[in-house]
This record gives sequence, C-alpha cells and structure tokens, in this order.
Amino acid sequence: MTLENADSGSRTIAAIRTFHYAVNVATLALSAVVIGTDVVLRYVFNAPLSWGIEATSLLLLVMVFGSLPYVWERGGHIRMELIYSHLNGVPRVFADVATALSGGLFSAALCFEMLRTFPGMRARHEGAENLGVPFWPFAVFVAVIAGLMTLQFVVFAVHSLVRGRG
Amino acid sequence: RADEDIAARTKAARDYVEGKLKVPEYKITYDGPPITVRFSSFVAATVPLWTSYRGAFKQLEKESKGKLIVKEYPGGVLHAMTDGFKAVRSGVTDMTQCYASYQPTSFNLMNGTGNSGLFPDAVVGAVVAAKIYPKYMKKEYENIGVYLARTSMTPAYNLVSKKPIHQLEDLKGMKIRAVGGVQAEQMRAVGALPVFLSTPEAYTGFQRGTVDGVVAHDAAFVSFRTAEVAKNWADLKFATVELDYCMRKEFYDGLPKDLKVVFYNWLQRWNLVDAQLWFETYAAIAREKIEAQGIEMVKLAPVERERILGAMGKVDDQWTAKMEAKGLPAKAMMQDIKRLVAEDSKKSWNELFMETVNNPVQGLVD
Amino acid sequence: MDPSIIGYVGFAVLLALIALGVPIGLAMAAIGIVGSYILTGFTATVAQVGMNAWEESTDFILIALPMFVLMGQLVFHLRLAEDLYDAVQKWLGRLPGGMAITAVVASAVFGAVTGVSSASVATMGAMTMPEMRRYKYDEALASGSIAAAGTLAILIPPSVLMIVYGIWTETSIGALFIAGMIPGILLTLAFAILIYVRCWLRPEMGPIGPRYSWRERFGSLRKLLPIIAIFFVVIGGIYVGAFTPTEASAIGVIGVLIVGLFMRRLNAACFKDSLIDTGTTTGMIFAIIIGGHLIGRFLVLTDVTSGLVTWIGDSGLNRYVILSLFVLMYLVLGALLDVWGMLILTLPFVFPVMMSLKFDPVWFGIFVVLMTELALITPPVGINVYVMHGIAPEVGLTTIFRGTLPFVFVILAFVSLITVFPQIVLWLPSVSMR
Ligand code: NA
Ligand code: NA
Repeated sequence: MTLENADSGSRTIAAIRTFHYAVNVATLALSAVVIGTDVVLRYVFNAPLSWGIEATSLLLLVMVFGSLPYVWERGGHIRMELIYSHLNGVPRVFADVATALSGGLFSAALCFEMLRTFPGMRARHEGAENLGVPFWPFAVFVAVIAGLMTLQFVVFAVHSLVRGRG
Repeated sequence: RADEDIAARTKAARDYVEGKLKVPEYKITYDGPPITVRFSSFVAATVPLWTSYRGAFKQLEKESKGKLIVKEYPGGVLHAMTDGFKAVRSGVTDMTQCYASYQPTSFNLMNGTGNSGLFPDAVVGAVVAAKIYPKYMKKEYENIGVYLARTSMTPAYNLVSKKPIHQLEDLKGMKIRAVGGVQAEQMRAVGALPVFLSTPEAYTGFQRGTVDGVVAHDAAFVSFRTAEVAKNWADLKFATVELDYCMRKEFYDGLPKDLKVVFYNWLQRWNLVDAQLWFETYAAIAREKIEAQGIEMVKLAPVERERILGAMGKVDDQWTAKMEAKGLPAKAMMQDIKRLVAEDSKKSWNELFMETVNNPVQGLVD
Repeated sequence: MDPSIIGYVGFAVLLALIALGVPIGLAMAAIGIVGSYILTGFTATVAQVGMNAWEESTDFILIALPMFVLMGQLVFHLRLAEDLYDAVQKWLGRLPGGMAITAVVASAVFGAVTGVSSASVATMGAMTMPEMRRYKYDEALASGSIAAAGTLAILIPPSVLMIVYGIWTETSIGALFIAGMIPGILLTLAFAILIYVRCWLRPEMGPIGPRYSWRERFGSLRKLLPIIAIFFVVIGGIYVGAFTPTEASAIGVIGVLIVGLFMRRLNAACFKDSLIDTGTTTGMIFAIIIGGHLIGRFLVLTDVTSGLVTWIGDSGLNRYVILSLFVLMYLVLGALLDVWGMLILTLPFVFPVMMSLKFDPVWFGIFVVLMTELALITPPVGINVYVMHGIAPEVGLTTIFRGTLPFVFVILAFVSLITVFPQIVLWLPSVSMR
C-alpha cells in the first residue's frame, strides 16, 4: 500500500507477500507436524520427543518476524481510525510521520540489538539444548527483518512527506 | 514434630533475620546518599520466598547503616525469568536469578552440580557450591558477563506420581516431566521416559495423565500444586538443582570499598537464610501438607535408592568423561565436592550459618 | 524529574498517538522505548527491545495463538462456518431479532473452535452482516451484536487469553478452560435474551427471518457435525491427557484439515488464503504483545500502576469494595489500552492483591477475561469494534459502539453474578478436574 504507485514498489510488495506465504507455509505446517508427531509418539508409542518444544519455539520466532513486513505492507496493524480517516494535509502527514517514527524506533532498536548481541550468543554457545541448534543465526534473521522494517518505515515517511507537499 | 525440629535446626538463621543474632559490626566511612540495589525476580510477591528475601534485605540495610537499600521488582515485571543474564549484563537490573540451566550450552563444569546423589540438602548444597565455585566455575560463569552474587541449591528432588514407587523397576516406562537435559538423561537411565512440558502445563499434564509423575523439590510440589493431583510421593532424593543469583559488574565494582565488603559478606548470609528459611523449611512444611492430603508417603529402602542412584551414575560418568576430554577437571571437582559434602554434613545447619557469618568463603568475586 | 510524572506523560503521549491513528502496537513500543531511555539509558533500553521481542516470540505456549487463528481461518475457508450459521439460523431465525441471536449463538459455537476474539468477529461478521442488512436490521443492533458476541471466543475454550493468564499467574490452563464453559454458555444466553427483549419491545429493530420446515431444521443439524467433532477432539483430548492445551491447538488444525479432506473442500487456494491471513493476524497480535510488554516494562519503573494497586490493596477496604475498584480501573484502562498492554501493566500487581484477599486464581482468571471482553467493545479503543468496522466500513464506529453499549451492561451484571455465586465458575473445574 505504501508503494502502490511505483512499479518497483509493486514488485517489492509481491516479493514480500511471497516471502510471507513461504514463511507461514513452512512454520505453521512444520509446527503442526512436530506437535502432532510428538503427541502421537508420546500417547500411542510411549516415545516422546525431547526437542519438540525447542523446535516449535524457534519456528514461532521465524513465523512472527517473517510475517511483520507483510503485516505493515498490507496495513494489518490495528489502529484507531476514528480521527485518522478524516485527516488531510499537514495533520495527515504528521500522523503518518509519527507512525513511521514509532515503528522505525522499534525496528531500528531491534536490528541494532540483534546485530550487537549475535556474536556474543555465538561465542557463548547459546542454543537449543536438545535440538542442538545454535541461536545466533535466528538473531541474524531477526536483525535482517528488523532492518527491512526500518527501511519500510523510512520509505513510508518519505512518501507521506512528498505526498503532503504535492 | 517436623516443624519444631526445623525451627530448632534453623535457629541461627531465624535469629539473624529478626536482628537477634550477634554479627560482626562494620565501620562505615561512606557518607554519600544511600545506594539502591535493584533486585528483580520472576517469583511472584505472593510466594513465601519473598518473606525470606525481605528478612535478609532488612539486615543488609542495618549492616550498611542504611547505605544499601534493596528496591524490589517481583513477579517478572522487569524481565522474563530466562533473561536473567541478559538483564543484568545490560543494566536492566542489578541482581536477579541467573541459573546456568537457562542456557546449559554456555556452561561446562557448572552443569555438573546436578549430577545424581551429590548434595543431601539445600544448606550443605549452598555452602559447598560456594566453596568450589572460585576454583572450578568462576571463569565460565563470569564469561557470561556477570558476577556471581551467591550460589543457591534446591533441596533434594523427589517424585510425585499416581502409582507407588518402591524400587527401580517401578520407574520403568513411566512418563516423567523433566525440566533439563541432565535430569532427562537421569530419567532415561532408570528406564523412565522424560517428557518436556512447559511450567504452566505441568499441572494439567500431570492431572490428566499426559505424564505419570513429576520430579521437583518438595516445596515446589505445593507451590505449583502438583501435589494436589498426586496419589504417591517417594523420597528419591536423586539430585539437587543449582539456582544461582548474579549481579551487574559495574554495580559491584562501583560500590565504595567499605560497602563492598558489607555487601559481599551479606550475600552469603542471605544465601543461607534462603536455604534454611525458604527451601528446607518450606520443604518440611510441604511434606506435612502432602501427607495431610492423604498421599502415600513412600520412604525408599536404602538399598533401592542405591540401585536407582547406581543406574543414574552412568550418566554422571559419561558427563565426567566428556568434560575430561575437553581438558576440564571434572574428576577433581567431583572428588572435591564429595569431600566437602562429607565434611559439612557433619556440621549442624546452625553451625554452617555461624561459619558463614564469621568466616565467609573468599574469592567468589575478585 | 519524578519517575511517576514521566509515567503520566508517557500515558498521555500514548493516548495522543493512538488517537492520531498510530498503530497501537507501534505506539506502545515507541513510548516504552523513549520512556525506558529516559529512565535507564541506551544499553538497557535496546536490551529490553531485544529481550522482549525474542522472549515473546519464542514462548512455546504462544504457538497456540497462530494455531487457533489458523483453525478459525480454515473453518471459515472450508465453509464450515457457513454451515454453522445456516444451521443455527434455521432454528433461531424466527425469533424477534432472530438473525442477531443467530449471530450470537453461531459466534459462541465458533468460539469453541477458535481462541481469538477478533478472528470470531471477522468470520461471523462477514457472514451475518449482509443477511441482517437484507432483513433491514437496526445497524447498531446488528453490528454491536456481532462485535460483542466475538468476545465469547475468549471465554469459551480454547482461549488465547486464558493461556497467557495461566502462564503469567501459574494457574492451570486446563482448569481455566473448563471454568470458562458454564459462564460462556450463560453469557451467550444473556446476550440472546437481551436481543430478544429489545426486538420484542421494538420489532422494527430486528424483523423475524424466513420460515423453515422441521424437516429442513433437523436436516441442517447434520452440517454441525464437523464442528462439534473438532471441538470434542480438542477438548476431549485435553481431558483424557492425550495432549496439553497448547498441543491441542495443533491437533485442532490437523483435525480441521482432515475434515476438509473428507468433505472434499480442501484446495490449494483456501489453504493458501488461510495461511496468509493467519500469518498477518499473528504478526499483528505479536506486535501488540511485544509493544505492550515494552510499555509495561517502562511504566513499572515509574511506579504508576503499582502505586495505584498498592493504594487500593492497602486501603483495608472490604474485598468486594476492592474488587469493584479494580472493575472501575479495568473499565478505564480497558477503554484506553489494548488488552495485552492492560494486562501486562496490571496483572503482576493486581494478582497478588487478589490472592491475599482469598479470591480463587481460576475465578479471578475468568474475571480478567470478562474485564477484557469489556475492553474489546468500549470506546475509544475497542479492537472488536474496529474489526467489525473493517468488515462493514459503511457502518460508522460510533454506531457500532452505540450497539455494543447494552452488552457492556450485560457483562457488568454478569460479573456481579459470578461474584455473588463463584460456583458458576468453580463448580465445573472442581468436579471434572480430579
Ligand atoms: Na474460544
Ligand atoms: Na476499550
């Protein structure tokens, strides 16, 4: 929605949507399969999995952050539109810039923190004990997504400023 | 009666929190404003652990002549339970619970205190863990970017279940809720099936039969209400779990010299206050409550406990071999632990408390 | 500056941002970040952002959230929800306000297969609103009924809110689920009676629907079977200990997929749409959860809510007076804040007070759910009303809020009822959970 007029923009949206779909197919389906398998193995075959919870937790992380860019593109965040929908001109630009700043503050801080901490996570061997998977690649994934989100908010702010002037 | 017995055994600690115990006085020269120690915990303010905390906090204020004051953040309001290390490292809090079991993959020798049959109770456990810390664990713990505030050990872990456990064979095929990797291995070693359930689901899982048994220390059976749905209790006493507290480096380093000494020594007193007035006292109260609920209390025959511990011993041996292969002195550590446990088990809890007051372990922090 | 002043300023700016239309999750996160920065500096603040984002999105129990959303999505895309509406309508459509009553009852049944309130509004609203418009229902009544009935989804198990409450207060989630059943049925009934009475007094508000033969009515019941079967697998599986409430969410998804396969309704398109919508809803909810945590972490440092709660708790007042004060507090906070923000801010302080006053943790869990239901439908920030408005943009927000108002009073009356008769909540768990 933020890039609706630009050709490259619609390609970006399509890419984000495809990514969103791929992430959710993988994570939702895998989570259901892992949990379902764990239940059957435990209840029917008396052979519970030791890494089911760890695997599902990491899948959830990928699902949540893999979805956030598309949630923004599609205007999926819950907002109060009572006043916003009637705003025009400068007040509208003001509201949009406030939105971009709020979101940008969060995503930039998150990106920064993940980039700052992932080498330490790696050095300290932080990871899922039973699954035997290190955490740091997931921190890098979150950093990349948060970086992309920051970019989205910057683009949105610039667009609304340009539109407000025109 | 058990509660009279426990009151007599913990008299020194009790006197201490009531300000009745004679402790060495400090000369305090710092005359700046009082320094606030932000202490956060995931434990809700309703849990009686906080009564024990507050008793100790009051003594810190007294011993520092009002210069060290604890600001409490109960119930996980500042950070999640498992974020202890991160929260301390980044300055979100000054002191909190930082269990090695949150991130076992970051530790080596520290994971060894969970081996089977090492510590008889929370008091000896807390004392001995502190004594071996400087030599074996300090380096890997401080590697996380924090200082150890104090060691802490749970009472011995027992089992509640829906069928009685009298011998090793009764554990075979039982689905038992496990919390960590070491305990899962110990369960497998006795033929049980470790099942991983998150804490909020443990109660429902046990009640509805998703698991057949839960292992924990006795106070936890009552506070997490697993005892309510159990039919049997058995004194497996197979292991204890180390639950340490850590503090922010900049906070401790920044304390005036005189207050640093007060704080360091007080931390170890607090450690024994919790071990006696929370862990062991509430474990004893819990056992009475559990028995009063009509749950069958099985006391294992010594020979049967030996068989169970013997089976679990294989896991410990594998662990020791793994550590030694990494060039870490796991064998020596185990020998030191066993020697110290033997020595300190001869002392009464009151004697151990006085020893900590008069002669605190040195070298926990440089 | 006094931290509590920073806290009040933070609150004020938050409200301004929300009023301006800044997405709620982002506004809460931003205020949390700026406030923490002022009080604790840069390192601690970015650490809070990282910790909360990581911790919430790797909490195993919260996997139930996308799973129960997906379950609802599949039920919608496989047209099981349509069957449900159709069957209920054939039985209740002839009552005064019958279409609105149908929406309420169908929402309640739909609530038994989803745990998220907004999912229920989105699903049932899309189906029932056009029907009610065709029969010239009063717009406020129609949209208000759907928005209010959506809140039943968090009272009738499974419920994402109960899961989160169970985690935070270490209360048995299974017991909470069971405890929600009788109140859920009673509140559904109360909502239906409210609509019935209003339309009986003023028939033009809710004209009666088409007539069906008994044969058609009984024939329609068959269509309810898949949904009932899924509900029984999910709740029954928890009951016999085959799986935990969290695992039940994944089993439910698998169950719906199997039903879809058998009914030959499952195809790539509906699977794809379900997944995309689930991802979007999940991301949106987590943005609010993470934002809610961040502002909660900040406000804790300002002692604003803890001060209020301590003041109420230490007042030495009668436990019912204190309870009423908390109702008042939740009405105000619920009007202004999103559900997660509201709970993160209050639960750590209110829960210990309630326990010291000897309220049962399961009972208080249901109380919190009811307070949340109010928050979802009261202005200015009422998520269900926004979702309803999203489905029927031509119906104004003010109209929908006007429509939900009578339901607010019903919920408040119901809170009084369970306070006087706590057995309504506690009886079923006490007999079934041993
Ligand atoms: Na529900
Ligand atoms: Na509201």
